[in-house]
Amino acid sequence: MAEKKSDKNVDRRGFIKNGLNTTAALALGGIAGFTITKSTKGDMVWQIDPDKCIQCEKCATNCVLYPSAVKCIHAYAMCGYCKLCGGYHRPGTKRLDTAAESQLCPTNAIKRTYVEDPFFEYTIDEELCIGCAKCVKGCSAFGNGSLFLQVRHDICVNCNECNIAKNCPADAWVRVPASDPYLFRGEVRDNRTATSESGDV
Amino acid sequence: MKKIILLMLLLVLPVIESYSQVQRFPKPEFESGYTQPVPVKSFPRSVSLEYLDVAVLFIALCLSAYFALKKRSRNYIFSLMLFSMIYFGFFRQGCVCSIGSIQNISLALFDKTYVVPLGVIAFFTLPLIFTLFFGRTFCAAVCPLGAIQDFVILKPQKLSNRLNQVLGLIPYLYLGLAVLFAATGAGFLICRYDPFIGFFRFGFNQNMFVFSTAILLLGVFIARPYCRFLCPYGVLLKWASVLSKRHVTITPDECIQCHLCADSCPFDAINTPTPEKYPGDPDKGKRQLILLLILLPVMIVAGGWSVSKLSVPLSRNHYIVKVAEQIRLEDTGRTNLTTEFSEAFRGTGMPTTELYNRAAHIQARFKTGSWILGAFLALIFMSKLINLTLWRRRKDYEPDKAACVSCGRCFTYCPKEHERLLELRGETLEHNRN
Amino acid sequence: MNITETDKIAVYNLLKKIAVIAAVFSLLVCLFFILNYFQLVTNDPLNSPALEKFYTDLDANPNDDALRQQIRSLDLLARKAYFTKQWQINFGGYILFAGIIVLLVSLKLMSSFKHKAPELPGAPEDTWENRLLSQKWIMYSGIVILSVTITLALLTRKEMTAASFEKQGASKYEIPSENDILKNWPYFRGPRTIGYAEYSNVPQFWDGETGENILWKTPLPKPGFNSPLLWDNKIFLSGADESAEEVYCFDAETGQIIWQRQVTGIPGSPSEPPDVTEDTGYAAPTMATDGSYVYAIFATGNLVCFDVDGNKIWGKNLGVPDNHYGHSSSLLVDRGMLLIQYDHGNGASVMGLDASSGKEVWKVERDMGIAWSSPVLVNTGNKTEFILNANPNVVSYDPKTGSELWRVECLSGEVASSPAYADGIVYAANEYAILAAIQPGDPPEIIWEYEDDLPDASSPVATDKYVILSSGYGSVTCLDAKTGSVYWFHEFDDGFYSSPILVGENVYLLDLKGYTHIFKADTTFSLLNTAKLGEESSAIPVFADKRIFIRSNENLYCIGEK
Repeated sequence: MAEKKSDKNVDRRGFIKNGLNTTAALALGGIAGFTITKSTKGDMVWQIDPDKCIQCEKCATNCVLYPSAVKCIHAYAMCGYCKLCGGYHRPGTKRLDTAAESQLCPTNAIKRTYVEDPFFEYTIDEELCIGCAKCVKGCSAFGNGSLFLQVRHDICVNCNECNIAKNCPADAWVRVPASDPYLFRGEVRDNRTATSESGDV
Repeated sequence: MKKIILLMLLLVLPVIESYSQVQRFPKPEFESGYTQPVPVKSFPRSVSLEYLDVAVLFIALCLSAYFALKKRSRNYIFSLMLFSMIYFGFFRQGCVCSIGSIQNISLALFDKTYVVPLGVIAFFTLPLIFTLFFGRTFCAAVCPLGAIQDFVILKPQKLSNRLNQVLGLIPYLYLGLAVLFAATGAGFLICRYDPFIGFFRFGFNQNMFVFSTAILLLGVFIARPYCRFLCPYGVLLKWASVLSKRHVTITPDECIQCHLCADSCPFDAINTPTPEKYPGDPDKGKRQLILLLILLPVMIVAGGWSVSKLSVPLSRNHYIVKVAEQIRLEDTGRTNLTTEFSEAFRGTGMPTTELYNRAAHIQARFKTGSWILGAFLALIFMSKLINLTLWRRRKDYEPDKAACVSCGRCFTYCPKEHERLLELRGETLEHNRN
Repeated sequence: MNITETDKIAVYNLLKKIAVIAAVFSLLVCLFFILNYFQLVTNDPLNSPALEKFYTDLDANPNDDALRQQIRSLDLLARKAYFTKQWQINFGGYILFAGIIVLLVSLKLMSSFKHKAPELPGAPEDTWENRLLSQKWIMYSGIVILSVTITLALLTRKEMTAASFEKQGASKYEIPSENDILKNWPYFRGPRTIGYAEYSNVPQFWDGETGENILWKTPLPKPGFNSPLLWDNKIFLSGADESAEEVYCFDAETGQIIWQRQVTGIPGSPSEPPDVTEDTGYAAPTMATDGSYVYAIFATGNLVCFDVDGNKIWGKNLGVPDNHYGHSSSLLVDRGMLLIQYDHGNGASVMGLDASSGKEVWKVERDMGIAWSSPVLVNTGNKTEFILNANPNVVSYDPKTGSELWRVECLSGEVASSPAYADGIVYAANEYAILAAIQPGDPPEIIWEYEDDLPDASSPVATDKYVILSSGYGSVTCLDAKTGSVYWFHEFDDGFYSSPILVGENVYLLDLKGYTHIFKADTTFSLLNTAKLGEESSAIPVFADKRIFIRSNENLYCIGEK
């Protein structure tokens, strides 16, 4: 008698368990299906919107990698090729040369070469760049704004939550598709989905 | 000389907003034939590799289920675990992982503008589906965080049942908070406090170094501390595993109750047999159950209400609320100091009314979210209590369907398992006695 | 092959030695990391204060070559230190990793040698006891957490409602009704903008020196020539000097300052204020209010909006005006649209901004000279017109869209006088130009002109019968509103910057020395009283129920019968 009762109990329990199992599988399928409608094939990666950046220097210190995956990029098409470069020369310097005391960059990552009178070309050695944005600040304030910070995606490990993005005072970090992961200045930007870190809630 | 004067003039002009792109200096016209270089774009790893990851995950899950349920070999499970630690951990640097994918899915469910990669959806659903079929085989051999903890186990201590139960409540809290923060856009908690990612990518962020080393050292003595007492994905896996169609067993055969496997599990995941008859007073037990069931809705409301009162401090983790509070402090004259956040905000030109409206909207979401979180936590508490009052007769030693991670350590403790292995090898008992 | 016991012990001991070496090695590398980290945090080679000091020295003595050499070597050292550290940390990470792997593997192999045979546990665990204990623990922990949460919730209740943005939200913005506007004094020249007071039950006698009928007098923190506003028992004023711009709110009953706010955090605000003359100052334009928010503009071009409780709503800079005296045009706000006359040397314009957000709705560039006059808003029969005096035109716009309705060329010189209006006719005047009586329409028509004793800063007031003019040297003329013929002319001792205000059948006119002349608006001149303030003033008084509020150069007075 007790056997039958316990058997019945086991069956009932088994039935409920199976039912819940199927429900759970369906729920999971539902969630997956819903999120697939809002999905993208490729990965989404992090990028800085240079128009929002306030050059606070946090990009250099907050990356989980050392040195930071954020580097300075030069949009040559926007550059004025000036003899006195707001991004190259230390503000207040009296001599416009390539001496260490006239330079702004702490790691000597910007190289200055003479092109023709009165133009000079400025290039960035990314091996030396630490992403501190001092040159970006100078160029934005006194120049054309052709220097700006971007995440280099061959270095960036694409953390699910970027530590720099989390600490950015200007909320300048957005997620962009991995197939077109740069927001360069001087380029036309199309209407792609770019969600900022804080979300458009 | 001209440029220096220009610089002086510019220093005197009004403060220029940092983000304005002003072509102050005209585009140069080169006469020497110099061509402007174009800035180089470097790309992340290609999409096909992402699909490769999903494929590897799928294969690893299949193998893990096969090794745990069919092949029943700790050695194979261990090797697969090493592979997972190296591939998903050190090679892919631990991101995206299934644990973190909860946040991406939460954000996708509640934020209209967020787009979630297909690979992340796969990382979320595949382990759960496999668990629904085969039990928690993901944890033992596929999850890189579990693998690294398992790798450092040297002297596992046995924790008392009550400690296990109480500490086992923390993952629910972690899951609730993580989902709340992810869904409202306040941030990804799980990623922020992931103790092992620092090891995988050889890079720590600020304070995590101490926390990570501490947890890993703890893992030497208390087996898999993150898995058992913190992992939020583990909650979902627990639920799926309890409902699973099949589950790993200690013995391939019927249990002979030799009790040799009792001390075999470093995770205290083996349930011992219960006494033959219900040991307490059945009427008292019934009354307790009824009392708990009556208290259940009361506690759910109490839990929801009390956590909802914490919604404002919780909402402060959101960027918009943080900035709005600082701006409000400044505009109402309560502070004279500005922060980079408030200065950056003022530079955007957004009217403060809009900022405040956004903050209000986010706080409203936090309010609803906190109610749900509180109700959820209360429900979990009460469920645990109710579960403990329900009694089910157990004859054999069984792995706990929720807690067992299918690591296979208990297999070699079982004499029936030894029989099976000998049969497989066609060997005799004599030959294998050391 | 059989492995002997001695072999096994030898291997075990070897493993032990390896483990110890690996452990010590890993510990050392770990310590090194911690040291390195602390060094980096306290002494970042790229941000060295010594180098900064050298730079300042160099800027002072740019030709000090020895200093240059010093900087170069220090900079090179710093950079080398940084990159070495970077390499050390990255390479060290790998070494530490290797060390720990060796340690773990040897420990694990060691433990596999010491494989214990499973032991039988004692009597099967009495899980029932454990269950009850677990239950108790869970219950206790749950109760503790719940009570802590509830206590925290109750204790911080007030603070949380204050911190919440939901409850407070943004200050509610409501457009006031016509009646509410008429009950208060929200603009420079009264609720109708044309110099009419709605209350005539105000005192005619007071003396600022003896205190007769002076209910209270509050000193002003910062100077300004703007006139006060009154809404619902709150008086608003602004004040500014070279260092700061402020907005004040006074209690109309007691004269106490309810709140005062500095105007800060305005993007585009100039670091140096423009030059202004002493008799205009930085806070010449009068504010405007609509009962929910108050708006203020300053000579720097800073435009700010606070709610009536002092919370800043928005602020922007319209561009520093090129104005040799200082910007003076007062603000108006009409049905949610903030109206601004912004005629200055590098571009004249008039604009309409959304009052609750500051966003520009419309802007019209004008080809006018600099103006110091303030606009008016009048209902000319079937529509509201926004009328501005400038050099050389008087122009009327639709306040909602900025579209021009009509314009008349009749003024010249430095226009500081604002239009008057009565019974369908607009009166515009300026010293060295004319007083024109304009019939608006398509095309507008000048009905009559008058050329003597014209105002410079003062604005005329008109009724359907009379036009009262006051000049900068003290004369007052009363003309027939329809024909322009002179009824009477009177000369007072001191000039007028303030404007005559129609109070019932009388006119109150405050002169530069602080005397308020009260006379009838009639075909003959009859002076009722001259009330003394005892202080210089150029602002327009505010007329409220049984009260007059006057802002002198230094104080705010409340006049009422005691």
